[in-house]
Amino acid sequence: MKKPLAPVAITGMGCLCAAGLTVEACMDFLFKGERFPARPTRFPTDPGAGSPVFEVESGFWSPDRFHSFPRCRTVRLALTAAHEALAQAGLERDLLKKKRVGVCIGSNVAGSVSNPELFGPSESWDGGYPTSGRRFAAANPAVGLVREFDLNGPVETVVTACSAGTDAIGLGAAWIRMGLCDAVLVGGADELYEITYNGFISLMNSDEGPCRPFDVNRRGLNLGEGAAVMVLESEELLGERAGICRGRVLGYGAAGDAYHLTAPDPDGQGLRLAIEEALASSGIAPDALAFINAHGTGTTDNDRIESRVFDAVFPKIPFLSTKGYTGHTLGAAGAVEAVFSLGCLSVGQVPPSVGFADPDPELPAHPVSQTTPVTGSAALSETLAFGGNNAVLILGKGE
Amino acid sequence: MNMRIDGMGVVGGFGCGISDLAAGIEEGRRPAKFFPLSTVHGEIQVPMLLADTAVLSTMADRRTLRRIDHHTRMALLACLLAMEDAGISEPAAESLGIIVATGYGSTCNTFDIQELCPAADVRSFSPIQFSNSVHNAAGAHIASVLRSRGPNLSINQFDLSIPMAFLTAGHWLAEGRVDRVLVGGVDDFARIMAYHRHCRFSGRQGGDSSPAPAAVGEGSAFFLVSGHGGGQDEVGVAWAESGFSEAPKIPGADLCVIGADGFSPGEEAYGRCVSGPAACYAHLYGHLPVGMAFDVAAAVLSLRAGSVYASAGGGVPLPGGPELISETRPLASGQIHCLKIGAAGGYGRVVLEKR
Repeated sequence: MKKPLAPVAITGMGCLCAAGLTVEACMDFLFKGERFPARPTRFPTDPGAGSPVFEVESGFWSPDRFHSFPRCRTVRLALTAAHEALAQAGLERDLLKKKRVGVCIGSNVAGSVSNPELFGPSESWDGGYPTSGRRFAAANPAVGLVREFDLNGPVETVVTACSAGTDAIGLGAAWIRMGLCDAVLVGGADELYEITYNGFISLMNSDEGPCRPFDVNRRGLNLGEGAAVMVLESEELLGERAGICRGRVLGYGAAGDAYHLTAPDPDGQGLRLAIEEALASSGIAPDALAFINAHGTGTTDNDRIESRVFDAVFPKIPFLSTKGYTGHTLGAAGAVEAVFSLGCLSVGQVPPSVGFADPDPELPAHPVSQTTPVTGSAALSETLAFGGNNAVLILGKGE
Repeated sequence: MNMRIDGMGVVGGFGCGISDLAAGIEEGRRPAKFFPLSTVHGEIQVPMLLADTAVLSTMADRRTLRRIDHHTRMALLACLLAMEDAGISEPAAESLGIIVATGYGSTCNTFDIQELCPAADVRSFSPIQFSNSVHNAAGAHIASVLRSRGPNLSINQFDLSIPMAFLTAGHWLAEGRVDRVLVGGVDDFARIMAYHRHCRFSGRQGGDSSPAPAAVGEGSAFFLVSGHGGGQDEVGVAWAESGFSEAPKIPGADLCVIGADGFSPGEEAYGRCVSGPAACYAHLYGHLPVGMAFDVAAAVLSLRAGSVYASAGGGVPLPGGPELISETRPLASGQIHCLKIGAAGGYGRVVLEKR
């Protein structure tokens, strides 16, 4: 990356997760410093073992808002977030049909054609096995958005595990810059899924209590679920309809660790490269950032790497983790946290990193532990994923 | 789109490497073989196109391969073959991007949750099983073996994943994010689709003379691409697109390689889009979501050789579809369109050209 790229306007945002069912509700919740993790309710777990999770409250789905009726929870989450984002952007269905509108959504569960609920024969599938294409479409939030809003642009589901939501926003921004789309719905969506839940337990990466990002007693993550969708718009469309720019994607970077499937590179080299690319593409200097929204899962290795890299690259920039409020929403995490970052930029403060109480003396940098005023018009939001994927966004304040 | 194909690697039911693919296309092979498949209704015999990755043990460190499953082995082998075809052994770590497209993802067979037999307990899998089930596992392993620290993307848009992968590779090169991209696709053999095919087609009446649909297949095809250097005699990607609007009309003078396999929904649309010469090679690689990657590979072979090859096994049944080329002949145009009608709606197109 040799020179900064053009910023891309964000005109609408929608978000739902355990912290709330709208962006406003989520932001209010974060600054209360509360959280309510509990045992999973939608699949069986071993009594006395496992990890608490952060589920979205059951009444989130309002079918009367939509033309389609998806059965898959992940699609419902994505539609709900997109509905809020489009309403905030002021983009009506009729206009969406006339413009070239793409969809780029990160997800983990949506990529699983092997989802047991969708795989077996059932009477609701006309008594036979559904074709694989129908199964995929039924579980895929990007296709769900296309069908609901009758969109005609490119469609991409990003499956880079925990960095998928971040990657989807960065890739969608390129579609605007390259002139491929007038608008793009970007973000991430993931429901809690039995395989993922048991998978993290098998990896011994789950905390049996509420997660404690960057704390000396951290034991692992808690899973969550949710969705966040942003509307990205070209300057032409924004000017044509006199829309409001509520934020900007200023930069994006991604790099691989090339190290290990489930453990981050101890030197954080991949993360550093992703940060370098994001900063270069944004033209923003490291010390100009207002704050960093860390990945901060609460796992031993992840938090150590991030703390070391922050200390080296951003020694004076405050950082936080919001995983304590939401759990790790996997493919949605990058998008949920990007929305939170823009919300914090807007109000000029960041919430405490709930779960962080006792600093780890081995870590050179520590997150904020109380509501903290921040100054500046840009923030960095990052995700570190399974497989060594690192993805970083630089986000700018809106009008 | 300013993208040059420097090398390609393929593995599938037809064999391993470009020479096996070329031989399969030139000879019109239908390499599917019948194997037993256990189901809730007992054992059945179904045609399969399975990939053999044994040669990988001579190309990569055995310790590295020890915990890598078949899904990733196919993708890694195709990547290494693409590098070999391009004459590159060690790419620059930070200037190589990786894009892995998949339709089923690595979960396809990992957990044995396809209901051909009573479902396995999803709470009793191993950490390695879970690790290999995550969709970007193949991309992570490829990056690790190649020591690539560039951007690493995994895309899952079912049978329209390949055009989106090429589109993204083009953007990465155009924005200067990387100098080269390994872009391609991989899918495992899906037992449930083999069962589905068996249920739909094994009881065909004797009077039904239409060609049989392609067997269920698996495999991987990867391409090493870079920015177009302005050189002569290069094969490149002129355009890649995908969307849920109506599929485009293909110019009548250009060859169109269609991704019809005979039992994916919506294949009647090929007849509305293609009025000129068409070829179909699905019988060679089989029914799998990223089959379009093999169509792109076949198009590259055609452009390199200046020939249009006859459709594999006479092609697939396409009511109202375009007439398929049945004899090898010289290529009349410098462009080849690869078109896929999506099983869940939409279309994807990759246009290759000789420069």
